[in-house]
Amino acid sequence: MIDRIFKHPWIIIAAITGITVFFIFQLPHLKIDNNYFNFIPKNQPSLVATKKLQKQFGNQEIMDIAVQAREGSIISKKGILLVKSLTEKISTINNVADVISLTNSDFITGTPEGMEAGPLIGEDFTGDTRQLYKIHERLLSWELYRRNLISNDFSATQVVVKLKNGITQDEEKAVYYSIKNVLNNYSHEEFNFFIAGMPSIIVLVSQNVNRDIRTLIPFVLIVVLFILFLSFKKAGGIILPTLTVVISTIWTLGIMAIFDVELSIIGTIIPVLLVAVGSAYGIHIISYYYDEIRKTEGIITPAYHREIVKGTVKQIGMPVLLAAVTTIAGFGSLAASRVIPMKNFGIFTAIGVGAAFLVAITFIPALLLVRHSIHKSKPQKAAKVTFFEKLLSSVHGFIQIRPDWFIMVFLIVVGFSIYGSMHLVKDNVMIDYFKKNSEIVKADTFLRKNFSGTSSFSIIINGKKPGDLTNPEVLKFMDNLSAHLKKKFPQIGKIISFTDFIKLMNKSMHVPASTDNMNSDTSVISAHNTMSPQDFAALLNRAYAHAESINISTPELIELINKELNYKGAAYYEIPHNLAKYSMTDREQLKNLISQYLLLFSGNLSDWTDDALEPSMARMQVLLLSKGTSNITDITEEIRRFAKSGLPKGYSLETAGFAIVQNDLTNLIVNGAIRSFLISLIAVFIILSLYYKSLVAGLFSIIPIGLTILINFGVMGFFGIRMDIATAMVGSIAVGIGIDYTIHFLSAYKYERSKTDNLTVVSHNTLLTTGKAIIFNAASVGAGFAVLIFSSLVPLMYLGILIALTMVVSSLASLTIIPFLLKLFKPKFIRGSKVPDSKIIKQTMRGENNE
Amino acid sequence: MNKKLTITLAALSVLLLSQNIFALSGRDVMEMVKKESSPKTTHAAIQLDIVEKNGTEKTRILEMWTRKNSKGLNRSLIDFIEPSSIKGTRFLIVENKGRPDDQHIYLPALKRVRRIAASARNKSFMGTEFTYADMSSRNIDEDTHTILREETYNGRDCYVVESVPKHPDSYHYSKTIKWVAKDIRMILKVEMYDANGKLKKVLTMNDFKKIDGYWTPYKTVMKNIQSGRSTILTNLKIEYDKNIPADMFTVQFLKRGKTN
Repeated sequence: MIDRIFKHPWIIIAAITGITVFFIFQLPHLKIDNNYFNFIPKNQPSLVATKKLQKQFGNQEIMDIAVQAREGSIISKKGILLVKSLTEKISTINNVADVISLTNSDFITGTPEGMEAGPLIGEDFTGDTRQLYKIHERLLSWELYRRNLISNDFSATQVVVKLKNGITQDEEKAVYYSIKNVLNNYSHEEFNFFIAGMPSIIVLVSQNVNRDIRTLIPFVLIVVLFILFLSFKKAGGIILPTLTVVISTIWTLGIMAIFDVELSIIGTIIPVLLVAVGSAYGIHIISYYYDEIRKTEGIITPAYHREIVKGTVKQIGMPVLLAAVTTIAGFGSLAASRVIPMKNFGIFTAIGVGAAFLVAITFIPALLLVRHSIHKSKPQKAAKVTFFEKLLSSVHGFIQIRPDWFIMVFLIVVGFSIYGSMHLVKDNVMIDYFKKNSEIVKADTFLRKNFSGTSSFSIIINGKKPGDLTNPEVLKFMDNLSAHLKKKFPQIGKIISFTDFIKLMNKSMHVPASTDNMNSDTSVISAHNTMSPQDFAALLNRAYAHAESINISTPELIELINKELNYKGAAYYEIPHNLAKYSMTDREQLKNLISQYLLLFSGNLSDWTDDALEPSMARMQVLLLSKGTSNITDITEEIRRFAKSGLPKGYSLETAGFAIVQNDLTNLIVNGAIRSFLISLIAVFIILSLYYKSLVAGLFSIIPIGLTILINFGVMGFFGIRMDIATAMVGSIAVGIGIDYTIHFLSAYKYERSKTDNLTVVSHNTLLTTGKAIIFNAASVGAGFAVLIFSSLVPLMYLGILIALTMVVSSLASLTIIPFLLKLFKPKFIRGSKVPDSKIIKQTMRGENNE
Repeated sequence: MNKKLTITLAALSVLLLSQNIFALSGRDVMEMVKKESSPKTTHAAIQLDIVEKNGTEKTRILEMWTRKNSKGLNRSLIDFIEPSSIKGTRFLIVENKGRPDDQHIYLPALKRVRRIAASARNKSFMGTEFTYADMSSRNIDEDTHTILREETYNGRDCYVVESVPKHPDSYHYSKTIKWVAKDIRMILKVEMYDANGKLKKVLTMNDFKKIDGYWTPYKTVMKNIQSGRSTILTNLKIEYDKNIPADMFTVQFLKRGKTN
């Protein structure tokens, strides 16, 4: 077989080069997609519900823009004219469905004769003080405007940009940059501009991923190769493994491009991983090859050279295959995740590792055959005992002398890790992908602090037939639900509901005949008389008596006074429900009243209901101040609980929207990661049990890596590193790479064991030879991942740090725990006589020949 | 800025007397359409079908009376018939010279007449694809009219006229293109373009019949190209120049539903 393959090395070279060139041409088709909508399976109920929601009510993702006056109120002549011009300009951007701002919002109010409806800011706006005051008054008059069109301190206003449904990521990107362009044209001396919202975040994640791929990957390659060079000290030995890595990376990305698999934020890691892991296979082959060359005295003939190459492949193939298979099992386990990028990551890193193995085992030997240059064997340098070896020796000695201390340290580490793990926060918060000082984080923070948040979901109430949603019973339920949720969950910034508009209409239609006369039933005050201090105090006390708690805010008190006096119909800011209050005899009349109100809205409630006159569906939008998803399950459960007791018969309730999809995504990420991690451990256990034909071997092998993962979770818990789409994968990645150290160590140990029965000597020798090589190997992988510290995306940064950490921990754990266990239990599987592969592994891992 | 709901509902049905047309400027064509005499009164039963993007349909039926006074200003009364939840809701629109229309509504559930002061011209009328602005006529000289070409549309020789507002801020369309039939001097089709210059809505007038001497489109369709929704307006019954008492167009009538 090997003979046949290597008879025509040129064919192999040509074939691999051909395939590589083919894949290079696929690379430009590779797309980057970070829309989390595409991250979860299409049949996920939350996604199905949200798509349905979008079909009815349009794209629910909005770009949030805030304009803040650096000094004073945004309600100034300059401020309003700026918002007006900005609104008009953004409206004309392609794929913008709608812009909602201060300058195009409506204002509806009651008058003694009827109702006034029109723009919040009139067409006759000149900016004089009286008009500005009027605008202030209007903005304060309806709770819907507060923290929506105007910030608490009046310094800022929000412009909401709705995008068309179903636009592509490139189109979203174009909108984002067009908006930025528009904003750049205004003076930043007097105004601050903020742009946030999910589409902006997605656009920026993709942009950062793109930059990371271009700048970090070459950097990773250089670092990994430099470390390998330091350990192997052979420049020639670096070039071919580099080729292997580059080729397998191109293949992997090329295959992704062919299958239209988009690169997501975690896709960035695929090349890093292939560089860090794939280089090892080439190194093993090259290293063994050089050892053989060096062993040969005199001139090497082409024929003999061919034998050396063939021998290398024969000898090295199996152990490298074992390392590759366990790595594939580790990474491939992520394919079990239901999170699409994680699944793809699992599939394509597995393919990439397979490719790296294949290329290493065919392309490198082929190139070596073709090159067959004349080698001279150099005399071996006398082995110097380095500081590093001394350190390893003393660590080993310590463990031998004080096993009790070792066990204690082990238990303390385990204890701390378990404690840390319990504090692990699982939340995939997209805004936290960015650094704290980035523009988008500042914008998001500003919008959440001054307005009603940048994340939301909807509650949909469905009736059975047209007109069902004019039933005061169900509207009353919606209103109660809204009040209940706002009271219970402080992270809810605002709830905008279909009912708010009906309440506003009811209020506007019940303004007392003359505002001068107040409400004749309750008022003792006549406006024609001046109000006595006693009257004023009496009014305040009557209003306060309706308060829901002792401590109420000024807006609440004003609202109570308004209600008490029915100021501009405030006593009717409610769902008409009480028959007597509305002098009606049956419910049907109330229903009709609501229909007639809806007629007055002239069908401009399409964001809130399915039909302008006879709605069978209505929507409430819950805006969240929190950026995470951790409370969403609590809120949705509370909604369901509340509906169970209060939702009238014949109606159903559902929740949908991006916050819920994101919450689902977080759950899928966490569950998928845990499942994948367990699968990888089991797979590795099975592979190694089979290889050594011993369950004990399988068990021993997964102990160091198991500890590594536990420490990883512990560190994450202690330092508040959240489990997100990237960091959740550390477990499976660490198993895939870290298990190799155990495999190498076990093989070398078995080899040393065959020479002597003194276990201390065995472990000492193993440690100083293979142990050293394992540390170098771990250092190169760890350093490669550590480059991700320079990523502009926080999850990748943490992933880099965590993988570097797990490499250090898993290599050290292999080197200490394995010999400790082997000494303690003296299992049968390690005692066998000479095993051919152990020698090879030992040698390759050392990267030098001591014989 | 008049919001003349009635004018358009009527204009849709207005027939122009036959007359030889000399193809002149775009303005001339529009002048010709405008100049034709319109009925003094109109009384119609109209069915509005609102068709959603997904094909679901909702029907509203209303009865409408319009009367033109000696100064040429319209007064209209709309009485909603279906759906039953809004039955008896009446809407009175009085056109004023030089100031906004007076609008009053009677809500039977409240048994009250309320005055409506609305200034949102680009809002939908009753959930239809017609905005208030679509319902009102524009002064000819607010736009620049150009004849783009002449072509046959629906079997009639037409002028295709492009109208671009002279002050873009004054209108929420960047331009409209109209197909004007040379023989009956009626607009057969209007394309309305949004601020980005993209086609937003298409209005078509079909099934012309000559009623009481006036050409009347029995079916008018407004299709919103961007949202996929459309509104179909069908004349169930229409009569012109019948005697409609002036006191039908008063707040008192609105409330009582009958003249004294």
